[in-house]
Amino acid sequence: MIKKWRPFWSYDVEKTERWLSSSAVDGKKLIDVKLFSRIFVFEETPTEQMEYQVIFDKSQNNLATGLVSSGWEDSVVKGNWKFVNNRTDPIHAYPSREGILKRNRVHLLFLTGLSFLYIFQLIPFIIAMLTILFSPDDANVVASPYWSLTFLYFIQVIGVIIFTIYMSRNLLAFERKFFKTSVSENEKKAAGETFTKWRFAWMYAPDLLENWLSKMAAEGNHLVSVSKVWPAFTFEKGTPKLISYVQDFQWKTDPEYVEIHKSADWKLRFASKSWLFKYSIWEKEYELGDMKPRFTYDSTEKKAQVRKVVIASSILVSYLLGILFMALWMQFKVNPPFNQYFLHQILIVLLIISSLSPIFILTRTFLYALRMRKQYVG
Amino acid sequence: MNRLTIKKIIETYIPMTETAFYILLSLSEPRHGYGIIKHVEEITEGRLILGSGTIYGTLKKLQRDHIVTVYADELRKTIYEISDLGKDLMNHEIERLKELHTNALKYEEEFK
Repeated sequence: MIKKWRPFWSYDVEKTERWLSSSAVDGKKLIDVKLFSRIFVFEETPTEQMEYQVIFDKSQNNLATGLVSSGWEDSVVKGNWKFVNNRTDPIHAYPSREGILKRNRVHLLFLTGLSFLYIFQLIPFIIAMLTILFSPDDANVVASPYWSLTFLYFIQVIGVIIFTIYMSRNLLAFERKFFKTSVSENEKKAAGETFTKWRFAWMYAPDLLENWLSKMAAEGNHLVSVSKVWPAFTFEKGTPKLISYVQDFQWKTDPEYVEIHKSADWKLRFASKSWLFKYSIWEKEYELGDMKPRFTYDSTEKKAQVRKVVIASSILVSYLLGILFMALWMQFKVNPPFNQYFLHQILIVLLIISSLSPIFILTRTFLYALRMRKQYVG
Repeated sequence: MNRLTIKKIIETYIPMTETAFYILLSLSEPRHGYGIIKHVEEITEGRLILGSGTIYGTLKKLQRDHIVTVYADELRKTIYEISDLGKDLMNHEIERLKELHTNALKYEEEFK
């Protein structure tokens, strides 16, 4: 029996899989994995060519029959983890990477939060240390045996921060590799003349945007791209076409979201960058006389979608208003209204003007909800 | 999968929506997402056309409840397969539909 310690094996599963496969070639077959102490146990066997894969599956279901029929079999099953191997060549089906991606994303989120806290701790510490180093006269260092503890603590802090950076790079590469086609948008290169139109707060009234884009396409102006920073839409002049546009909103998406829509011939023209609050714009051409293609034809689903958009916009508006009121309140608290300098007065006027944007969003959202209500009820 | 989960799943899913039923029915063999849309269109002779949003939303829910599992083909495209729990669920639903069908045939004359 051979035991190997791999403390971070689950954060680079591809490396772990390669290691397991090459161990099998070396005549070491995996027989157990101790999840808590992160020890891999092997037994010596004749050398064997096989590919290993690691699966993270919370359902703890048996291996899908499609995987079994293409040669995969359980090697070690522990908790939500499955270590499977395959002796056939070539292999026609592979386990999904989604479980691992999701699990590691959660871990990364936790680590990122911790790292931010640590950075705030680390900065004053570094400043203090630099002060001691460069101007020892200003510093008053008290000798203490606990200094080693302080240093150990901060070594741990730096370790966590470095690990967070390593992990986020790893995870991004992993996602690109396995879900590449599903992450990026369909590039469209404009061959002819292009022009840009602005459309403020377009996200909050999907129906208006969809109709506008379809109307533009019917006039021969085809959407090329949407800016990620500004509400600017670039069009290309061409022949009039019938195009259905869908502006979709999801709280969060996964690779399958893009994959399914793309396989149904939808082209992704825009997707917001954030991993929460995903807005996207899709297009699909259709022929005269055909049904206008949509994401859903089910009225219950349509209503649920409207509700989702309204809730998301409301959250955004409350967030903006919250920040604004806090800023105003702090202004008045520090300087009473009739006792202010000119600069402060300008600042307050600016703050009040900026409160117009949440009100604008709110109105657009409310009108959208009203239009949809009429459409579905009437 | 224990008996309690199966009971809970049956309670939430039965009676099934037409969409969920036809999606699961087309998983009589593993398929891609778009394959499901095409198959449903075929077996309902074009009556039921599912949007890709419908497919995505329903499959997500079925996956979350472990009724459907996924894996990938050589081109890294997702393939959906029904799980044992899903098969159990379908058997229950088909029993219910059979009863509906028998009673529909038995009493249909009365409404003519």
